[in-house]
Amino acid sequence: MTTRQVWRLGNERVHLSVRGAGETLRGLTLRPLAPYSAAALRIGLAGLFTVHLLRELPHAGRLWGPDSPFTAALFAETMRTRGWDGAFGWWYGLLATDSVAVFYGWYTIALAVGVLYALGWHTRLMAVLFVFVVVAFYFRGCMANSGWALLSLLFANYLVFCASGRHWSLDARRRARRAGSGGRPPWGDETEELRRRAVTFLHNAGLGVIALQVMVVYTSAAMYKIRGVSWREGTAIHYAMLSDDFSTFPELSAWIVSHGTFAAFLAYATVFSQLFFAALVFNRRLKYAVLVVMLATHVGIGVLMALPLFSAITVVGDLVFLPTTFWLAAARFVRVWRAAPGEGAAGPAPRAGVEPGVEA
Amino acid sequence: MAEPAISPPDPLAPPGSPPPFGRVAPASRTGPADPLAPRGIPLTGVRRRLSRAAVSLVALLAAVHAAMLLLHVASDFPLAKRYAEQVDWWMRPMFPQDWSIFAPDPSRYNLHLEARTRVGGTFGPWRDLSAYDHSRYRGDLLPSIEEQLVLRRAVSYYQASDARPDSGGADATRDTHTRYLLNVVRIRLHDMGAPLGDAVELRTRSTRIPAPEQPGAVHPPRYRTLGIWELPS
Repeated sequence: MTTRQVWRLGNERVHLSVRGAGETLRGLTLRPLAPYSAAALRIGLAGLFTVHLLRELPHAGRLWGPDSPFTAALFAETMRTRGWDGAFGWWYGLLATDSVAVFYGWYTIALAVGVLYALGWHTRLMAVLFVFVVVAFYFRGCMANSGWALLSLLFANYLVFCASGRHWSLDARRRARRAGSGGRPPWGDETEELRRRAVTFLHNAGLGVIALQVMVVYTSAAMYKIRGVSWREGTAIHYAMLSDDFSTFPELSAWIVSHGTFAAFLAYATVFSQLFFAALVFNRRLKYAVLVVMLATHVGIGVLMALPLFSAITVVGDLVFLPTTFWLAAARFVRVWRAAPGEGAAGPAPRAGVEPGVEA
Repeated sequence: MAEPAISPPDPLAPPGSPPPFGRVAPASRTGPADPLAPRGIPLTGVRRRLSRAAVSLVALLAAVHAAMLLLHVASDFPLAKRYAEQVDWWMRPMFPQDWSIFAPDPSRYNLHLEARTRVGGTFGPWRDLSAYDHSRYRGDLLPSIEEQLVLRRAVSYYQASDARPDSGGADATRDTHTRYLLNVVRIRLHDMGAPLGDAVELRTRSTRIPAPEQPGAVHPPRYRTLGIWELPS
């Protein structure tokens, strides 16, 4: 092969890939990717937030409210030291009040926003309000924020940009009911097309950033771990299970510890699945394998290590990688399962909002 | 808007390129047509330019955010060090990233906070506040962070700021963390039904977790006194 041929071939490749990139970009402006995953993310995130607020209701005053050991005065000092008292200070410090009525007023609003967002009622507006309340709780609770708080804040931020109400939402139900009766938009078809393309591209960019964020979580967790001796030796699970601070069922944890080989296997499985997550998730088949391993890991962490919400929100984040075909098959499965004679009444009702067939 | 959406031209990803996620697939695999998706009407004139501008802006923002995110988590990377200030400005406080849970190593010690209070000039018995919290959430599949996290985090904040050299702003932080820890302790003591008295002494008790090779080993605990604080009545 002469240099000239190589040059020509290279040139063609470049042209091809430039055109390919252009066409991919065009596809990204025309077709919203993974709309079901976005809906699942919304339902999972807002649902968990609601569960969290309901669970902590008896402790709310101490965690974020007037009875908190992190008093409003201490909170104000921390805001100053950390430089949070700028233009958004009023927002970050929204819950820092000595008034019980004001605090529980916000608490009720936050609960309502969580429920409405999960149900997909005026989804985009609720997405913005959801960030508003999540941020307020995040900052007020800054002395006791867990991985759950971090991840829910991040996902709430990114989901604002996504069209998460296209499916499994009250919005979708309303649209389906009104289908056929709608008129043309007053600003004309072409402007409407422009608006839709912008919304679509924004959605795709938002989902892309969520996917990146999930990969960053796993990869950086793995990078931290491989620096540790106990993960390399496979004894990390042994020590984690015997930690007083992270054991819901000490007997169960002790049982795992008494099976040293099993515990070592779990340690290696954790590190390797996290380390290779970002690569495996691109493969159409291996993706399911690594997602199942992640699911199993997080069920284990959630049940044994007293971190249920953190585990649950991580699993919800993983859902972004499931393709539409998967969600359609799942919806079909639920439909068939519910329609099965005698089973429908006995089986547990699916969560509100996870109502397949609405968009059909 | 009643007519079925005209499906946009197939997105023609170059063959062999890895699919991103939720793969763009033939229409049969993308589910029911989305009535809100663009219909593929060609744009002309100013709208075409607007569309390009909007797409470029969003793509740029997404790329910048992705870059900032990666630089923020790879904080030892030379480029990240050089632009640490800019990266921080972008990421904080809305995009927190701290994924070092149980890393690099889970602790090999169980750390408990113990407290005793002075009533009428003499100190009462030591009380294990951590054990009290543990007993409250054991067996609970959905523990409250009040029981599982608050005290543990208060102790680690205190220890982190206590370890720093006393200088400048660190002093204020240390003071904040100390007062916070004392408030948490006071609430715990109250819950445990202990008399509060006029002073409280705190110490940590750390016990080595037996290594896998010697499961039955019992290690004597090590104590570290944090200090005595007068409590305002």
